[in-house]
Amino acid sequence: MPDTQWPRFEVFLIEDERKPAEHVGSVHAPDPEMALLNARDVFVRRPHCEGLWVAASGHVLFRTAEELARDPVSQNGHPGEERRYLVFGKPNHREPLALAACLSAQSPEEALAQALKESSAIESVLWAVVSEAELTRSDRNDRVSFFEPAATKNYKLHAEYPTARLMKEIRQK
Amino acid sequence: MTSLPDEQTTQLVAGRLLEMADDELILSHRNSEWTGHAPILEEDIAFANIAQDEMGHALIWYELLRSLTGRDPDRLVFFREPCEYRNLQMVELPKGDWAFTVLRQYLFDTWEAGHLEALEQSRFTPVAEAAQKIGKEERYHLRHTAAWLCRLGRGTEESNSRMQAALDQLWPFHSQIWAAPPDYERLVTESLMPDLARLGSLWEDRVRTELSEAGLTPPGFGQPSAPLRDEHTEHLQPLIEEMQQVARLETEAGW
Repeated sequence: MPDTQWPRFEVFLIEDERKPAEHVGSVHAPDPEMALLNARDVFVRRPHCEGLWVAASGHVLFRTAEELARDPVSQNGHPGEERRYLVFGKPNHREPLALAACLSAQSPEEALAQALKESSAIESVLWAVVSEAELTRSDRNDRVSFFEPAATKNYKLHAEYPTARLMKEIRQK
Repeated sequence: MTSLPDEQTTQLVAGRLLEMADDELILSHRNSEWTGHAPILEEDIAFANIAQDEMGHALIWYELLRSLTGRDPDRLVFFREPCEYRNLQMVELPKGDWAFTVLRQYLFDTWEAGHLEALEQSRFTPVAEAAQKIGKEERYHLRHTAAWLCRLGRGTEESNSRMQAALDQLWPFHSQIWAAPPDYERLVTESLMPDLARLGSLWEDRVRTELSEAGLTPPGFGQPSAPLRDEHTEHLQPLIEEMQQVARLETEAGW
């Protein structure tokens, strides 16, 4: 089914600054600022988070291992000016698509080809490549209002409500 | 200070806390009416979050009120009559279209930004601490609402005209926001609560500037005087009936 909504943005989340950024999903938004706000509401209501990045989906190159086996990326791609690219890899179906390399290249294809060459030891079922220039990021000043309130919100399990206990007691009678 | 000097001051602070809590509660209820109906899925989630946040802020003020007067928040919310509510008329108006909701939230969020900052300076520590906690979340609300304001105000001809219609409808209610309850002046003198008239004039300057940047013009004259907080529009009663319906079905039920 065609996507009839606003443009899509990919969302990357930094749970902890000591860990690499992870791709967590996507949101629809009319522009990067709204995408960042939507990402905060959809992905960071509860969990711990220290940073959020968004990039228009059209600027993120995704390649599965199957696609690469069928159609290897060419180093030449569509050369443009030299930029910094972030390359994300997903070691297996359980682990997240996480930042694996940051390098300079003239196109996302070239960046991926370089990453594949340099880190041939890394197995990945899925790759994602995005130019740093295409990312909109939350900044340090956003932390207090974006991420801190989540820490004070406890997720209450349904079993903790007195009503749930009461129902259990009634059923046991 | 962590306790208030005398009974009269306690009653005055409690009266103001009830107004603040009721504003948050009723706005939260109106916002929750968008759940499942917001323009797109992401906004549905975002706006439900905001509604829930406002409900949380209401609870913070009701709990503080309980610590001063012993009044139970659940009794206050579910077993008061509409005429006993002390919320602003602005927050009880029906949710209207998305433009109306965005504009009302913008007016309320900008007011709260200045109000909470001033409350952080209260000499009564529980109020200052609560304001600091609520303020973090409100900064986010304002960023979200201001983003919508500018995109709808400067979007299409239709979005602009709907925003202007919302502003025309809401503006007559705006001055009630800084109307102080009787004897409130005492709390200002003792630095327990901020000077609402001063905040009101700062707030009006700010929103006039930002509205005009968003291509909107507040109606210039003929503003009615602010009604008292015990006066309500015909829209509050059906809201309260719906909100209290389940709790009143079985008054002794626990949750």
